[in-house]
Amino acid sequence: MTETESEKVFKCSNCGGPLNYTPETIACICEYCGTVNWFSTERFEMFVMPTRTRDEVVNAFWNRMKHDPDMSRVYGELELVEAQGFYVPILMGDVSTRGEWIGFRRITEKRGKSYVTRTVTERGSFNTPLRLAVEARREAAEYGLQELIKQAKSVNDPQPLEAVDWKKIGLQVLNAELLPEEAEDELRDMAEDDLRESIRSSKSLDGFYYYSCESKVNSFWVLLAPLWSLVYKYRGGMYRVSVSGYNLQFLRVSEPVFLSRRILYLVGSILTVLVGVLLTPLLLESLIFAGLFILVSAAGAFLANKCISDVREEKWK
Amino acid sequence: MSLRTIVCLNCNAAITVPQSASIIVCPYCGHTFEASTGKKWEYYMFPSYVDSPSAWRKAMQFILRRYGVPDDFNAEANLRSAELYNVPYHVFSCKAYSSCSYGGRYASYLETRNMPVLAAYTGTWLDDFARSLSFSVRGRSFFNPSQAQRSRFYMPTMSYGEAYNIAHRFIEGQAMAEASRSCSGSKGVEKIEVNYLGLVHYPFWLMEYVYKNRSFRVLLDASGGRVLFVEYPISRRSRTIMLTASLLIITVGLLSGILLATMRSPLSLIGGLASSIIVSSPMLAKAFSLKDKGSESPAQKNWSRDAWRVASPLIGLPVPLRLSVADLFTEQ
Repeated sequence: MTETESEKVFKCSNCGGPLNYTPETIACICEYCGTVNWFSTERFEMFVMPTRTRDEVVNAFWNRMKHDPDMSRVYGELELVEAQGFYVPILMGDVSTRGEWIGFRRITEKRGKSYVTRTVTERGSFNTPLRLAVEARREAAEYGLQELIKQAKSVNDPQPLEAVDWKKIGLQVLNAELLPEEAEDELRDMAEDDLRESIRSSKSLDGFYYYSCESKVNSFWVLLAPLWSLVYKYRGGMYRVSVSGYNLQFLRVSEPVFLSRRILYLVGSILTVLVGVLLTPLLLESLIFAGLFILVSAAGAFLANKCISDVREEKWK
Repeated sequence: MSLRTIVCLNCNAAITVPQSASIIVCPYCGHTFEASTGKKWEYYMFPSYVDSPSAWRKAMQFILRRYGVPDDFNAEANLRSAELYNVPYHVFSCKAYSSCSYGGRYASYLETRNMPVLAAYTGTWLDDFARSLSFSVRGRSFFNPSQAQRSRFYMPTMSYGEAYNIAHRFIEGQAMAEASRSCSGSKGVEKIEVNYLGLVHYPFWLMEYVYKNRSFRVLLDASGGRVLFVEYPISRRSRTIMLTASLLIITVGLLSGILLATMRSPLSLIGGLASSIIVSSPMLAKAFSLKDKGSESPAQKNWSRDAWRVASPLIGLPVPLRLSVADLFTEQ
């Protein structure tokens, strides 16, 4: 019989166990003996954020629900359906950046009875080291992943791979998919974008006349971060929770919207209408008030939308 | 669509494919080759981790948490059909350098992206969602014959060349947008690298269910398990509540408008009406829609971003992070 393309089996170099090898795998950790099997000539250094056990994660979930002001009232009606964890590879990098910028800001002022807008030019330079983090997988999406990446940046005690007893952990380890060269480009691209946006927001700029950023990646490594994904049921509906296995931090939690909150949102949206009405006599005076009117009405619509939405999301910041 | 039969170059199976299929993936052995030359092609598949009962269960559990779903939904909704679709993508890793000179200064920028290009249209409503997919975190794997054979398995009709051009144009646009965000001088794209990562199939569950003689659609990401799209009925009671709430908001707007109009400016009446209609619009839209829609992917808050985009220059606040005029023209 002809061999199908799927019948290729990759074995661990140490114990011969089957490896969870996928086409983009650069390094694959054997589930049986913990050996790192490399599939790339160029290598990343790899570190691990230790994870708590499944029981600890589940306990943390119930503990949170018990003490949450909204959820504690329906504690008895909650049912945990799923608790699954896996290690996600995060690309970490130390990048040094240097550059200069010339930006502009529009300022609207009242002169006598009319309003005048003028443009102010600001300039500056920077020479900053950055620690950056990005998922080491292509175009991947997962609930809570972005929050986990944010958390990974501030982890100071990652462990080397060898220090971890993989057999005891029993979590699926997703493979890093980026080649070292791609990783470097990804980090440089990110450094450019992050710095530009942080200058823009910290200096309240409306735009740039010029911005340059020379970046150099000094070192990069892969950090395996434990992401726990939980699903619970309340009155037939499914809600997701993601928890960092590292410190049991809740990364993202979706909760049902209860009646009391819906009423609160409705009252809020009615208040925005009142503010909108108060603003209207001023509309002809300046465009600023027109802008405020649009914003207040949009905020009201946002609250009205929340009033009839299905979940309330809490994100770790 | 006109069809033709091709013999697999590896296992000799006869495969019926569209006349326009550019690359053939044998659904029996996974051998992948270019139709015109027989050249072997790089090919992978995203595994489907969700079977049909659990896909339906996930969809139900998602719908049941939505606001306004009738109380008898669980008992009355019945699955009519569930089909696994495997949709092909050409995947590229793209990189572009753009540059800008301004007043004797020179800067260059780097833009990197991974870009899946939808390589075949299914001719169903799935296409709209398939075009803007973010892949599952669990990643691609090797060919799986059972997944291919128990599904609608689409051959890529878009050639590699066409897909390459799309990826090329995309990264070029992104690089120019990046330069526009950073610099107002004269800009250009210096160098573009587009690397092919191969052809992949991504699995979707396309489902239809019936509730009280009306049919509704569901789309689920079979690899990541995400609910990408659902339609569901809204109960009469919820419609009434939403209409009442909207009326309440509009009444408050009108009354306060009239009050202020008599005291200060007649403009207040128009303002009150306009503001209350804007504020109640989400409720009104939902109360009058025949079917409501939902998705588990990140909420689409475009309207609120648009409002901010319009309002922020008027107030003199900066346009928020990663949003600029350039985005308007380059967003996918």
